[in-house]
Amino acid sequence: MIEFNEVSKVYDNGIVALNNISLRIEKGEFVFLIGPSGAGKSTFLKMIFREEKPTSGQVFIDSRDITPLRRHEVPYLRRNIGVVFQDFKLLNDRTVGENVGFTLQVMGVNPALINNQVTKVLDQLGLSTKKRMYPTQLSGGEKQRVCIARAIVNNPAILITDEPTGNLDPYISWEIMKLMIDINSKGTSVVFATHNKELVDRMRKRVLVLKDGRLVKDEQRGNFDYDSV
Amino acid sequence: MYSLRYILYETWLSMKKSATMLFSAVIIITTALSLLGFFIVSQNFLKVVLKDIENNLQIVVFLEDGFNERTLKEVIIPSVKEYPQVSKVDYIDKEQAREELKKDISELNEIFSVIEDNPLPSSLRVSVSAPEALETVAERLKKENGIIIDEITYGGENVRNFLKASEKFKQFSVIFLTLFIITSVIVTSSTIKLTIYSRKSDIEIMKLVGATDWYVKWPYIIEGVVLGLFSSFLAIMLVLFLKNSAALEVAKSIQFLSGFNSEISMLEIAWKLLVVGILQGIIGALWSASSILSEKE
Ligand SMILES: Nc1ncnc2c1ncn2[C@@H]1O[C@H](COP(=O)(O)OP(=O)(O)OP(=O)(O)O)[C@@H](O)[C@H]1O
Ligand SMILES: [Mg+2]
Repeated sequence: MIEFNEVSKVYDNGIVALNNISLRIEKGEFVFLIGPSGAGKSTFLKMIFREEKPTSGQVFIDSRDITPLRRHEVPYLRRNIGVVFQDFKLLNDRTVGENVGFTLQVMGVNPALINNQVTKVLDQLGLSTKKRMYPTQLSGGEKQRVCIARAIVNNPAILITDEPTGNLDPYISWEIMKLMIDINSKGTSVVFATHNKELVDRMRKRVLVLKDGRLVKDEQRGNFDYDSV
Repeated sequence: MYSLRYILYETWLSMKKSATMLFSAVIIITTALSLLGFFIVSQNFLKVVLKDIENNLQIVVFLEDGFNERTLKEVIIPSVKEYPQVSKVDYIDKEQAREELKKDISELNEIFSVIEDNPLPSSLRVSVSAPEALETVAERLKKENGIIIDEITYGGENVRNFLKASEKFKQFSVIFLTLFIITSVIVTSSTIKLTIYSRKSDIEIMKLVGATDWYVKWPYIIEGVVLGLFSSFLAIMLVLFLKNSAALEVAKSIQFLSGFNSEISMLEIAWKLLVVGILQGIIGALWSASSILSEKE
């Protein structure tokens, strides 16, 4: 369960990225987040895993207010939230396998177990042959899939996907979508920020529309439309 | 928990990236630690010299002829022995003085066989426990009744000058060394800071996917320790080598110092250098690691 209570975010340079947002995303829900570039989608997502703190208001994860979390408590929050970053954020000095296993590694999991889990997830994403390659040797779409693999490897309660502007391979998008649905069906809440109209229109899930930092539409079984609001 | 293994791997990845920087840091830290090593060696050397001097701290009291030998032996000598700073009193009568002189300078034998009269004075050799006590004891001896003192000699001036000089040397070295150790801490710290900066985005990523501050920090602390360990090892080798070759030279030229090499424990120097090396590594690493990680929450 994710809850925003009158959340606003003003960056140091004075830009209001989020303006008084209140909403609730239930456990196991699948939510699209759309809006024009610069609308505040990434900022919204960053509130959830506390890459950024709200300027005012509160964010609750599983009924727990994460706004006053202490520095040393933050890692444990993040271990429960898988994030597919808009810019992937892969570690270039280690292999695909090591990147994917990293989340488990920081938790001190047995290497054999990590290896099992990593192999399984890489298989799921069609990356088995890339396990020993380095991120710099991969295409954009492959990097994104590695990032997804890392995000889901420890079965997080919440999965956040921040898709880059400009579509990657559309066929891959559908493959990824299927995987997200699969993960979602196992109880993980998914928040998916995207620019992919076809994806949103076909899925008919709940759609949140952000514009200039405001939540302008929140529709069950919505479609990709933010021009009309 | 397999964290140690992972952290060692992280350390390896980090050190691989900063190999050249680490190399120059090793040179500087090794230099600082070697100087510390030489300082310890020279302190030990001084200790040997001082011990030798202290063993020979003696006041010689030349007595004018015509004193009462019985009073001397039964009253004065026991009384001098009671002085707190006095460890031993030897009475050398005229005859003994002559024998000693004969022994020391054999050419004098003939002269003594010709001279009937013995011109050498009797004397008291008063051994004193500390150089500071020489003057006090000498002053007090002058006031003893029953003997007439012809002359009192002791090496006080020289000994005290030497002590003063070695004390100055020690103070100077301590200041100098403190500066060097601070330098090596700074070098360690800036080396690690550079490593951290070069991996700043990686560190941010690690934290975004759930790494704790300590998971990120440990590799740098280990890096500091490795840096210190490696530098102290080199410094120990250097000091050991130079000490042995220098000791050979010293032993050849100065007789009473021939034993000094064996009196300096290399083990002691080794552990001191190791402790200082590792400590400066940890302090340097903690300093840079915490200053950077606390930048942004
Ligand atoms: N760290 C930051 N400091 C200052 N301003 C920022 C920062 N991050 C984002 N912004 C500003 O906040 C606003 C919202 O940015 P955000 O990244 O949330 O948009 P977005 O909806 O994710 O856009 P896109 O679809 O292009 O990814 C933008 O105007 C952006 O310039
Ligand atoms: Mg964005």
